[in-house]
Amino acid sequence: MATTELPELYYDPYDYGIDRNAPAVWARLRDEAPLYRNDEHDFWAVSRYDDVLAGMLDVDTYRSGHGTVLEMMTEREFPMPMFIFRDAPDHTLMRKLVSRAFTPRAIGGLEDRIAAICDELLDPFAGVDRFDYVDRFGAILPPTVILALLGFPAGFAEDLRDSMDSNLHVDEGETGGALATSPNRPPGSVIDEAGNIGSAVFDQVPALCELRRAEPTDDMLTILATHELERADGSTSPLTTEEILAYTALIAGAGAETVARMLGWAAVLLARHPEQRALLQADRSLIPGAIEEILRYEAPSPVQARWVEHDVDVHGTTIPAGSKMLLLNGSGNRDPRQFPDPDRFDVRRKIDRHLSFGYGAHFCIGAALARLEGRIALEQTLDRFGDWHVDESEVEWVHTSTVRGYHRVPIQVSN
Amino acid sequence: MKISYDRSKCQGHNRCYMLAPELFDTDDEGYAILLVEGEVPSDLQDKAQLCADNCPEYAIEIEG
Repeated sequence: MATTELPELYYDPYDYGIDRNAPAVWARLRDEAPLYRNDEHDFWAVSRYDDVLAGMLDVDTYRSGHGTVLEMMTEREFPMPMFIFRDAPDHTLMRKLVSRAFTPRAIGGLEDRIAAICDELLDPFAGVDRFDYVDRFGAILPPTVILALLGFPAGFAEDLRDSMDSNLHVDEGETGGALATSPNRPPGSVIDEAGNIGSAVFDQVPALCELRRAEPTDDMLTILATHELERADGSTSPLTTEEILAYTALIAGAGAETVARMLGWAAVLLARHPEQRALLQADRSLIPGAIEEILRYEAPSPVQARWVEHDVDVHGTTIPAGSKMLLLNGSGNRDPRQFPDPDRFDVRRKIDRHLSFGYGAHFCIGAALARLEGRIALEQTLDRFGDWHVDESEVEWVHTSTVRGYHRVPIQVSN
Repeated sequence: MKISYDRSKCQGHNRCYMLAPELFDTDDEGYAILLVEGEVPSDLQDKAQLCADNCPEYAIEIEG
């Protein structure tokens, strides 16, 4: 009798084919190589829930200060002043400046506004039997909301979506992101050598900050333009233009890209599991739990890179200081050691700790906003489109090493 | 059941406030404020456990 041998175990976050079947490859990593080494791209990876969680909590060993996207990591400290790419004490101080804008109270006040944006985006598709759910809605709602929270005037959401898509995009067979390789731009800077920002969205920031200094409002640009940042040496000073741009680009980018992927997954997973969708139709109180399950099942940002600060033993191997470690949080979410029957999509599953927002000091600052956007978007989608259908041969994927999901999801609506 | 909260560990993720506003409030910077002292009322014990299980910083402890 012929035996079928599995192909040699191989993983990297660039290969398009692996990316599409990532849960199957991660399952083999967890069982066969809980500490995985890739010589070609020079990284290590952990994939089991306990190892990923421990790695996220151990911020003294696994540092963010050299960057957290594999192909953008730098030997020296990451130059761009974004708190996602910083360690304590800078990280703590920089994050604190904007955390007040993401409190549940601040976010909860956005509910009506988000619902109104959903109406505006979805009303045109009333009675339409087919449209691209991600291109026309899922990828537009999040930048619209995050730019409103920042304090931008309306009209820049599509520019932001397009610039984020191209910043993180990795071509087939390539491993370089545009953010790291833009010509005439110092590595990690958002301003080029001629002082240009080069983005329709972020070009607005200096003038908007001037307006806010003259007339403060309750938006985030006002915080950035008028508050002083406490520095690691104990002094305080206003943010530089470069720092304000970095905050703006980070918050806008992180808020736009990840929620767009989450909404794409929601449309596809609920179409694939109509019995689960029927549960939500019958009982809307299940929607917040469904959002958690969608996040667990298909993490929008499933790969987090860290810099190993000092030698560390993992599964009996010593990983030397200066190595790159991938914490595969998307894999941890599918670990049967943590979640019973993890490949079953179940909107009623009890979930305490999934890893899709990370954990510890770098836990997603926008988690409450993402959850709120997800709930409202899902409520409206269920109200409006009932039993939509997705032909999965028609979807288009995004291609990045850190964000995973769909660029286009045409849905068929049975009116 | 007793609940305690370590302000020095809190990073303002607000999971506790989202899950149990009866037990936690937040200050202007988003850090948690524990609203009960000592014994957790019996009808809130499940929620207290949920908060402890969900805190990304392990800043909430349950005893008993």
